[in-house]
Amino acid sequence: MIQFPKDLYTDVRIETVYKTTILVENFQLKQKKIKEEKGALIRIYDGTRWFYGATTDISNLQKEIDNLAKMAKPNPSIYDDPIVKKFEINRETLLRYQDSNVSKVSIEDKHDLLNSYVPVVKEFPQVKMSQIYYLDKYTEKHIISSKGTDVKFDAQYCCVTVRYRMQEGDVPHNGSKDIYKMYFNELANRQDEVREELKKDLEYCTQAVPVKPGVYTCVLSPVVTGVFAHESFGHKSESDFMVGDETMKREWTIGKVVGSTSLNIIETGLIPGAGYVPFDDEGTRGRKNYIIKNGVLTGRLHSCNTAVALDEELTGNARAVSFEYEPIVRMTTTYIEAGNQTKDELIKSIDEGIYIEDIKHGSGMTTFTIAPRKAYMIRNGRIAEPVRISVITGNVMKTLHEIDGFSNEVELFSFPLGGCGKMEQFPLSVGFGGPYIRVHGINVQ
Amino acid sequence: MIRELYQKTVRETSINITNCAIDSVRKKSIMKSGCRVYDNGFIGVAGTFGEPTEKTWAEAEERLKDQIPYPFEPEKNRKRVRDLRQLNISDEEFIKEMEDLLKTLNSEYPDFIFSHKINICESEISLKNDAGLDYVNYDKTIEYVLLVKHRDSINIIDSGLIRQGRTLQKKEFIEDARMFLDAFRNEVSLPQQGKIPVIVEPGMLLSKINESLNGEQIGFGTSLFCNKINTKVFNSDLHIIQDRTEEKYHTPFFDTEGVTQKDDVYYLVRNGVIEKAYTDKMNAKRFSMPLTGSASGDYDEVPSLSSADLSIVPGKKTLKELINGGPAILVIMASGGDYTSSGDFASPVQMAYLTDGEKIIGKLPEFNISGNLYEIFGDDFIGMSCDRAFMGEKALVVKMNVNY
Repeated sequence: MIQFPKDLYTDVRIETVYKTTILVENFQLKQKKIKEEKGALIRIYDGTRWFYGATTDISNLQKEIDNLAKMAKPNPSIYDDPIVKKFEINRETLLRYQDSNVSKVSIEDKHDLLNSYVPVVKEFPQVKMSQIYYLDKYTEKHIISSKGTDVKFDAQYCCVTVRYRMQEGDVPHNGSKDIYKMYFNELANRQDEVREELKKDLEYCTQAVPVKPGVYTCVLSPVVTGVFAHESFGHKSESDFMVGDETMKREWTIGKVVGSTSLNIIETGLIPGAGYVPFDDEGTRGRKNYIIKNGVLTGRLHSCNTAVALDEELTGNARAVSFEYEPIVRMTTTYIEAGNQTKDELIKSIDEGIYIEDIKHGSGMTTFTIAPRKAYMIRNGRIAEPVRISVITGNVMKTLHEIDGFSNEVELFSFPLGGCGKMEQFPLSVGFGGPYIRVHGINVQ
Repeated sequence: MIRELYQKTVRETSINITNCAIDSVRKKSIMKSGCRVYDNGFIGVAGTFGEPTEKTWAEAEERLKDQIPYPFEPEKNRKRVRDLRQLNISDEEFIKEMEDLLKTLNSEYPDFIFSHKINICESEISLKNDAGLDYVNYDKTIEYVLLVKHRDSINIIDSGLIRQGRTLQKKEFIEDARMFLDAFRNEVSLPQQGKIPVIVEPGMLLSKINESLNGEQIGFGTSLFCNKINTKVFNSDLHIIQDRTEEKYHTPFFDTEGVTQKDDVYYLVRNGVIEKAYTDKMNAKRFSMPLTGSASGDYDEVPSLSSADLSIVPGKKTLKELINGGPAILVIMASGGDYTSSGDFASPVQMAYLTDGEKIIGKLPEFNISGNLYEIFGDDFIGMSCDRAFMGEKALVVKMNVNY
C-alpha cells in the first residue's frame, strides 16, 4: 500500500512486460530469449514543476517516492490546481488478454511456428540474407494516483516478421513481410502471404529503374496512407506544440478548413493492435476522436497538461515509450476513413502518376516525407514499371487539400520492429492505416 | 564453461523545458545486466535489470540447450578502464545553471519559444568474465537539445540549438545560440541553385556507406560494395574509420565481444579506397575477413553484426578554409531523407543557414538536397574540418544539388 506524500499530487505507473524474441538469421538460430521486466515511473507534482523518477526497484517503491518528494515543494492547495482537478478518477481492471496470454505458449511452440516459415524463404535463391523473427509482448500496466485512480489493464501482440535482402545485378534490395496479430493461433498457415511478398520484391529488385524526379499524382496504398496520415497530420494534432504559443492557437482554431471535404482522420486508442490504449499513461480513459471531419479541424490530442493549457477535453493520448519515461502527447491508432471508390477507379483516371505500395519510413513537420520501399509508375490508367524513389515530399497543409479519392475499405497496420519516434522516445507502438487514396502535387525525388 | 557479464548502467538527470521554462525534472538510474555462458562452441544468454542473481546465470545456462553456435574463445586476460568523466555538478547546481541559461535566452530573445531537454547522462559499460577479461568504460556528458520556434511562425519547430560535451559548455552554448538566433531574423535566399557546398551532419550521408561496408552483406554478395574491396571509388582525401575513440560519446572502447583495436580506431576506407568491411567474430571467420571488432547487440542478446560507429577522419583545413571564401549552406534540420538502393540520396531541408564558415549570415527558405553516393564522397567531397566552428562539432562539407 503506497503512502502518497502530503500536499503533493503523485501517480505511479508500474509496468510488467513479458517478451519473447526468436531470430533465425540466414537459416541459423541467432537469438532465443524470454525477457520479463518490471519497472515503475513515479510522477510528483507540486503545482509548479513535475518530478519524475524511473526505477526497477519495485520493492523499494515507497522509498523512491519519498526521495523524489524531497525535490518538490509541498502545496496545501495542490488538489485545487487545474491540472490535478482535470485528472480523471478511474478504477477498473481490464485484463482482456489474461486467458490468451502469449507467455502461456511454450517457447518451443513459438520456435516451431517460426521454423514453418523458413522453407518459404528458401524457395528464393535470390535471397542472399534473411532474418526471420518470432516476436511477442504482453504488457500489464497498473496506474495508481493520490487522487484515487487505480486502473490495471493489459495489451499484447505477437508476430512473425521476415526481413530479407536480395540482389540481382549490382543493386541490393531490402524486402520484408510482417504478420502481426493479437493471438498466437492467428499466426499459423500464412506462408502464402510471405511467398507473394517475396515474388513482388524479386520482380521489383530485377526491374526497378530510377524515377524521373518531378511532381506527380500519386496513389498511396493503405499502409502508405496510414503513415501519411500519421506523419502529415497526426503529429500536428499533438497539442503540446501549441502550449503557450498564441500564433499556433490562432492557426489551429477548431473549425478551420484544413483538407478536402471528403477527408476524415480518426485517432483512437480503442482498437486492438499496436495503438490499443484503453487507458493512457495518466490513467485517462481512451476514446474515439475525430481530428478532421469533412476536411474541418475538429479536435486534437491531449495529455492532462495540454488539455488544461488549451481549455479542452482529455483525449487519452498521454503515452510513454516505457516505464523509463514520462508520458507526453502521442498518437494511438490513426487512420483515414474510407470513401466509396475502388483502387482501380482511383488509378484509372491518371495518365502519368506513381503508385506507392510500401514504405521504409516517414517523417512529418511542415513538410512530410515518405521514403518508399516499392513504387510503380502509373501510365494510362494502369500500374506500369517499378521505380526507385529516394523520397516523396509535400507541404502538409497544401497536400491535405489535394486528396481527391478514397477507396472503400480501411486496412490497419503496425510495425513490429519499429514505431513512432518523438524526441527521445522511440519506438512507441502505434497503429495506422486507411484506404487507398489519390493525392495530387506530390514532389518525387 | 566460461561466464561473462555485460553490464550497462545509465544515470541521468533530465530537465524538460516547455514554453521557455523548466516544467519537469526526471531522474533515472537503470542497470541492465546480461549474463553469458560459453560451453562447447555454444552460447547461452539471459538478462535482468539490476545485478544478476544465480537465477539469471541458471537461465543463461538453460539457454545453452538451444545450441546457438558461438565457436569462438571469449576474450581473455585483458584489463582496461577508460574513464572519460569530467563533469562534476550536483542536480541542484545543474537546475540553477539551466534556469540562468533560460533566463538569458528569454531576456535576449523574447520573440522565440524554447522547448525540449537538457540532460546530464552518465554511463558505465563493462564486460568481465572469469577468464580474466575486465573492461570498463565510463562517460558523462551534458546534452543540450533546445527546439526553437519563432513566436510568429506557424511551424511546429523552426530550428534547433544542439551541443554535447563532457564539460558544462553553458557559455559556448549561449554564444552559439546568439549567433544562430540573430541570423534567424535575417532571411536570405539560396546563393544559387545547382551544386553548392553543404555542411551536413555526417551520419545522414554515411548511412549508405555504413550499410554497404557490413561484412556480412559483402560476404553474402548483397552490398553495393561487393566488388569494390581494394578499389578506389571515393575522393583521395576521404578516410573512414570505425571510431571508438574519445570523440564518440558513450561508446566503449570494446565491442560487445570484447574486441578492441589499437588506438581504438580501424581504417575501413583510406585515400578513397575501400580497404575492409567491418566484422564481428562470426563473419570474420565465415568470410575470411579481418576482425574489426564491430559486434553490437542489446545487453541480453547474442553479439551480432548490425552497424558500426563510423567517422570521417578530419583533414588539416578549418571550415573557413574548406569553404574557401564562397558561401555554404549549414543544414540544421533535414528530416526524412534517404538513399535509394542504388545510392541516390534526396532529402528536404527544413532549416538551414547561409555561412561563410566563420559567421552565420542568414536563414534560408526550405529547399531540397540530392546527390549520388559516389559523387558526394567522390568529386563532390570537399573535406572534414579540423576545427569545431559550430555547435562544438567538426564539419563535413560536400557539394550537393540544391533546389527549391
